[in-house]
Amino acid sequence: MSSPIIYIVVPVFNEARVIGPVVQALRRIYEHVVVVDDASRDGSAIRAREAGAKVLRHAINRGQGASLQTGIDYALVHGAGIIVTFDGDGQHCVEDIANLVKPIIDGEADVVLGSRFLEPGNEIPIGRRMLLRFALIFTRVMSGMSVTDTHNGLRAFSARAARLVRISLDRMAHASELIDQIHVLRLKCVERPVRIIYTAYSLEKGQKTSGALAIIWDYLMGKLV
Amino acid sequence: MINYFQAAGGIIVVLLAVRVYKSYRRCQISFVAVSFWLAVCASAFVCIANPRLTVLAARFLGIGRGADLVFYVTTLALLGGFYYISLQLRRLSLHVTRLTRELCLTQQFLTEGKPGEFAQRFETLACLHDPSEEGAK
Repeated sequence: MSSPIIYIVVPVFNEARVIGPVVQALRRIYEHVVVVDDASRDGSAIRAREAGAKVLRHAINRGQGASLQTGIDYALVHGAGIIVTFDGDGQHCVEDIANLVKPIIDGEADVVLGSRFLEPGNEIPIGRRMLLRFALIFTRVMSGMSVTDTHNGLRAFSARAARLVRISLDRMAHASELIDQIHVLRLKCVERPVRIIYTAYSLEKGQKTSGALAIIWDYLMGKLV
Repeated sequence: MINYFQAAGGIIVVLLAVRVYKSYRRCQISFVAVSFWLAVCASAFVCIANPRLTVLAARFLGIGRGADLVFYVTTLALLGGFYYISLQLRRLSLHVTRLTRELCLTQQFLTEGKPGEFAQRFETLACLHDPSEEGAK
């Protein structure tokens, strides 16, 4: 049996400082790397293209959720068998992708979620740990699904799962929406440990407490209207 | 005798009514819309000009005070308006995102594909947006 075509989708917004090395690292192992540039103003698209990625560009900024769905659509149209989502700020490790896609190749899962809390080597800053724990409780209450890490950008979807799941929340609340949809669609989902590299840059770009409130608002509004 | 508040409120309501009517004359809003907003303006004008009427209406409805009646009606109208506007904004946002995505993918398909592949890719994309189309084929 031939191995499925793997597409790596990397949503990007103003990541020119780091996107080049991220794409180069991915391209050493994976042929299909799709960067979705969400109307960056710092030349991220040029850096990504120079590093060897296929670059899609949103004319206006629509958020990470919208970028992911654009990349997923592109990958599906091109016959992807497995789609991996990967953050563009350099906090994920390319080596973890193999562990994520294995359950899908083995037919054990439709969706594989990366979890930083299952990897004992991760040194998660206390502020970030508390924020993520709160997000976890919130997601468990709202979706009823028990996972250990809801807002981890490293995930893998089988083509079937990627076709069924549709991200409608454009911004960061899409992570909670994805968990909801996995639960509602009864997709086979497993978690795998992944490393997260916290740098001053990734912490600066990552979620803040005020951002968490915006996520909750977006998520609830998405549910209510 | 009217007080300053009644005078200011009355003027504002009349100006609003004139603006609504002008919008109707310019075919910017429908007859139903102009009727609704003129009725709202007329009610507001009557309430401001003669507040005792709200007391009579409140007693008729079993509420008691005219101010309470105005407060309840305003709260309900604002809640309904908030819900409606939220719904419209959400729809608008979804449409903008979809347009942005289709524009992005169209540009990409045009630059990378052969003419035959372009049409095929769009058919596949349409199926992704509406899974029922896939089943129909």
